[in-house]
Amino acid sequence: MSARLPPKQWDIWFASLRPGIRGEQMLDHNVLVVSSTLIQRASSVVMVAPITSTGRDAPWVVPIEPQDSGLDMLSWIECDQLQALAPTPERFRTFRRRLAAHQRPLVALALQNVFDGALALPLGGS
Amino acid sequence: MPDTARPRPTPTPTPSAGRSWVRLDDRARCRAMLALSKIMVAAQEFVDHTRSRSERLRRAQLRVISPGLEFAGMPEHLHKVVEGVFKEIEDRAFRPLLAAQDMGQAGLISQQSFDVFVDLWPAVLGALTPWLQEQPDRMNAMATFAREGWSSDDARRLGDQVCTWFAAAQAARATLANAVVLNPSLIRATDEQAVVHHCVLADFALLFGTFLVHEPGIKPLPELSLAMAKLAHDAATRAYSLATTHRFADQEQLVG
Repeated sequence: MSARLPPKQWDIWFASLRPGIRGEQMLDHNVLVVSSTLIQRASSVVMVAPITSTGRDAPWVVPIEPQDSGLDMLSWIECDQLQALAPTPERFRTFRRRLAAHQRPLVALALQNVFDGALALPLGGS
Repeated sequence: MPDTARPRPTPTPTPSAGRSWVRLDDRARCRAMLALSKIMVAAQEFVDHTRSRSERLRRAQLRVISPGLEFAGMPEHLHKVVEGVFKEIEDRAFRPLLAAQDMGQAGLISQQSFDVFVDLWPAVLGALTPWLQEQPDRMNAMATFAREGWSSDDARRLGDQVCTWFAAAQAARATLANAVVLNPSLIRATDEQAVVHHCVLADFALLFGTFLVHEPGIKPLPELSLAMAKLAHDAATRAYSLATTHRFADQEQLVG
């Protein structure tokens, strides 16, 4: 599956996250790539949002159903747990599929919640 | 919080019609897992009510969000018009909701309240739209004002969780409004009606939240504030998704 590297925005991968402490996502997780393909040309890392099977009830966590994610259960994209990973086979181990297009605006809004006030342009308006 | 599951084979992707109100059965199942309220699950019925009043709902209304009466700079005559309609909405749509004894009853009353709201709300938007169009910066100022309201001490009486959901709903609604202002052809004609309906539903729930903030003496059912905040968020984010999915789609999907 490494043929699909580097990961692209809206890809879902099974990945190895960074070590962490209690409260931080770590070890092996499905992740959603959120950084833009353009920035990846100049950056040595890819921004990902971990996906978990444990639901949290907050506007910065996006529930995704199996038909939209390719995962086999209802899952949650945690936009408040972003990590920067090198786009290497050690980190990005198995490509799953692309996130369904109609879920992407919901992730964008969740990210906007996380970065409240830090986004200069309205999403989808240009 | 490690997820020790090994990689699983990717199932064949299922064709999806998109996140729209016609897929509410799926959404209801998902929401039930999140233990949301009966009002939330009944969103389809709200939308159905709106459909019968489509002639009163206009695409231009997507550009307008509620500023609240405290928004500075509104001319006196406009303030009076908006204040009058707000009072009508409060008395006929929102106060009856306060009489609900439980969430089941609140769900029933809220649908009647929504009917009243759909009849009255276009009057507010119709009054505000020309004034907003005179000076586009007013829209951004109103959006900022409305969003920051959810961080105020008055709002925090409702609880941090309620304010968080209302603020996120307000942000989603304002994001869509801004996007439509910047790109008037953003929304596809086939999606327009559903987008408008969800925006009106979001406005209804958001204005109910504003009503709670500005009436410190009233005591709604404890679950009602949170249910309305989540309803506002669900409707506003769904409207945004319906309006912009084509902009987030892969190029090959658009070509296909």
